[in-house]
Amino acid sequence: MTASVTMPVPASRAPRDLSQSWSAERGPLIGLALAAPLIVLVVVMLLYPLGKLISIAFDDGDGFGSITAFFSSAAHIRTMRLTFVDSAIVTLVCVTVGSVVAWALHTTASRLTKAVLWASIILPFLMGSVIKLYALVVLLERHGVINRALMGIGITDSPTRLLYNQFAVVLGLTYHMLPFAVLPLLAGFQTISPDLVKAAESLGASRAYALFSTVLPLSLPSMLATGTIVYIICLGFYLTPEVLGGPTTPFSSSLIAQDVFQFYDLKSASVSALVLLVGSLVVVLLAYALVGRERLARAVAA
Amino acid sequence: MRKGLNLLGIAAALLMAGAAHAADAKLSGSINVATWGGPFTDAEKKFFGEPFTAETGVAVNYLAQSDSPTGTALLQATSGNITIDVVNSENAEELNSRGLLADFPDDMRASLENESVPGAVLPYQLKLAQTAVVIACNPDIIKKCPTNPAEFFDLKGFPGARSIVIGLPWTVLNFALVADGVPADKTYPLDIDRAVKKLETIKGHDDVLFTQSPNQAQQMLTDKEVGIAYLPHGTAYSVAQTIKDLKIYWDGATMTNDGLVVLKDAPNKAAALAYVRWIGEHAEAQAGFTKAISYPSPSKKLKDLLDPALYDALPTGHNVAPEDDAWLVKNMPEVQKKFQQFLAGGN
Amino acid sequence: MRIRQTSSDAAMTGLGWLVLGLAAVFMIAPAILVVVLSFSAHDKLVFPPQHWGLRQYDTLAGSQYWLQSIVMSFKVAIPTAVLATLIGVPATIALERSRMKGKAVLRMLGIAPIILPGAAYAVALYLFYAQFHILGSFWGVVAAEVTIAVPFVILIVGAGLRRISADLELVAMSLGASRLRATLGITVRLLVPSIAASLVLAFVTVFDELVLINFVGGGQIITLPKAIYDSFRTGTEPLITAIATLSMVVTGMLMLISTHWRKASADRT
Repeated sequence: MTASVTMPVPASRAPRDLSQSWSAERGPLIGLALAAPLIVLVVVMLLYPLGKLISIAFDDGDGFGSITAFFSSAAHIRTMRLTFVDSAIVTLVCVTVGSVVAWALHTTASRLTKAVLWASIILPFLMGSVIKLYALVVLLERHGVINRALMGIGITDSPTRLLYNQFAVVLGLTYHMLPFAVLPLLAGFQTISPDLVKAAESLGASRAYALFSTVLPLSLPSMLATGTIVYIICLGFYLTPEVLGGPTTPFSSSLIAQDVFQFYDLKSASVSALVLLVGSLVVVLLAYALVGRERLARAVAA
Repeated sequence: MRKGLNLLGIAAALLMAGAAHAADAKLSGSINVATWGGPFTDAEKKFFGEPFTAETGVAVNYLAQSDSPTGTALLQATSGNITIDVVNSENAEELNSRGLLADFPDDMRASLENESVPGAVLPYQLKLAQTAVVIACNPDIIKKCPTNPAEFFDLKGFPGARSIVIGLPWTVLNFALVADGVPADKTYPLDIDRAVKKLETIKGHDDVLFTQSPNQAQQMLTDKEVGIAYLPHGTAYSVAQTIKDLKIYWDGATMTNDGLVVLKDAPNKAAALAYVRWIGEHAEAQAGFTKAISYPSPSKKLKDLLDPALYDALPTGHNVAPEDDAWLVKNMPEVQKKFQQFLAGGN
Repeated sequence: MRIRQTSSDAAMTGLGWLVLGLAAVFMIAPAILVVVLSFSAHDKLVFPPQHWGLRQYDTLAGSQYWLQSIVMSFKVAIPTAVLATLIGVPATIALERSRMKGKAVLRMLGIAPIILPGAAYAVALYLFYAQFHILGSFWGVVAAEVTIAVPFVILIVGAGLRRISADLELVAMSLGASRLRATLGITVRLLVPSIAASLVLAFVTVFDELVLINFVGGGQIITLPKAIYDSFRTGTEPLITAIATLSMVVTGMLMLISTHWRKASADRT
């Protein structure tokens, strides 16, 4: 990952200090000095707070008592299920649709198609996370745009409830995450030549078979990496489930916020947060085992 | 003689200024009031905050905390960084049981009691804007309006989408108990399990929406997302300004114990107490506030200052049973946890 | 055999176009809707609007509440972006170009705040802030935002750095420049576009951030997203469409500039 180009320069060519070891890389001490502010930031703003979280979650003398209590609560179990299952659906949709969009962006020759696709990735991103929710509510309301349109063209005769259910949550999360899925997928596809598919077709394969036999295996790692990132980010959402889903379809994060702001129960919030953190850590480790660190990091970067 | 009195006055003022926490003759700075936002805050700003500032020079900032002003105060108390002075508290007993509230000075309490109806002044609270949660129904889109809790729960007999505001969970439990046949004045101590069982009968139905804040229910009614709602009477009144035909039913409602409190560690406690006292001593301002949003005020003169129709639209004008605060504070964790289980658990 | 292939190909292509079409409509429609509604002259949401005008923009310009929240967003986002850059750039040079031990771990921890589930991390910060009584403090909020802005700096500047040949510094040093001068004169100068791009991205991210503000802002630091969210719970205010349109235009311009810089940096090396 790091560009560790150590140049073995003969000492005799060094114009100044002969004792200085020559390398494109700085010494460990200079490195440490440069990284010091980040190290402080990480220790103070990440490690200490996480340590505090863990200590509060376990702070009742009987060790795992609070964890056991968490897993014996029907509300927590259902919320975890909702969180992990809904996020999985969103991830699946984002990676599938995102792949189609990214592949089209990679292969299309039409400028119009390209422009429309780029617009569909960038516009939602520009809107800002809260305004997206607003736009979706206006679209999905009982007397909102979609219901009017559906009734206008005669598909339904009375308005359907589209908001305040899991469907709305999944839709909202997909809307938020799709742009974030397309970019790393596109980066992954860019290493695959469209000619490969043509080559396979010329050997007698159908287009579908060509795509699935050539492109899919090559891009599978980037899809897995993208999926992992989308999945973990989804797990942490709380505004979208709250606004579009309402109090009966909460995500873990909604319960955490409720514990903090309504019940003043910091311990319960800490336990929920810890379970969520461990859950996403497991996902990252699984992905790490499957695709390796580099690709995962690249998916984050794009 | 006159001069002597003046001197005495100055001496007294100096003495008072010297005494820590004594009512300050010269108020200054600003106070922060944790409150509900929306039309509620528009009204308190207009009738309380602005005239109070004009008279005393103390600026009043209203911090809108539509989920729970009390929760925000507790949050600040936990963090130790208190910036709120006054809370429009829906649960003063909770704050008081944690020792967070300032008791009113004796002279202030005497004056407030003199101005207000019996029961409106506690050692640490001036009752204001008590709420009854009521049934509102828009006959434009609902053919047959439910008029009481039992009918509200009868989804077949009274069809149509309905919203239930859950911001005050205990009122919802109370509502369910009345729907299940418990007389409205006999619901306390709340049988939580029985109430939850009744609520389970309608949860998950396509026509039933639980909503966190009253304002959201207001939006749903005005946008016609729902035609029926169980929501605070003041919010119902706001909706009635837009939907003229809106029907409001009081059957089975109980009244909360909302009111103004001052935090013990308020950064500008003297001004905060003066603000509460100013409100308590200005019947006209109270009447203006009540007229604007139809939430009750404590003044004795209110009945004379208001239009009888409006006075009757207040929970204080109805035969509404008050909540049992002592029971609620003791059982609040259980109420909230079981209610959360109900909402998030099951299917 | 061939015929079957053709029909399956057609189905495949058709399906592809259908997915693309639906995705494009789904992604673009809400944005267009918001822009269209911002020119409605109604005091509440009406679709389709009957009257048009700049009413929403007028109301916005006259509202203390909204203007204050916009100012607050700038107040938080500007120092955050600057601090994140000051912390992130040297650290990235250390991570990419030094023999420091534990680089992989530090890199992972540095990026972690944007990968951890938002609310879980926010609770951890909340507990930490509560302990030291800094909930609701301005610099507390900035510190929290810096933590989630630094990952962007590490990622973008890191990518930029990897495109700059490490040998350039060596060349400068072989010509007599000190390590410091070589770093500043060559590497950092070539990095300027990446740094600028990361500054913009950090700014945009923080400007839009809500979860941490909700948890550690103590209900007192009201930024624009927080103000929108608070008002949102009280009903769908049409004025938000004007804010949305303006912020789309501004963010769009910022992103264009930032992309331009990133491209410039790629071209230069």
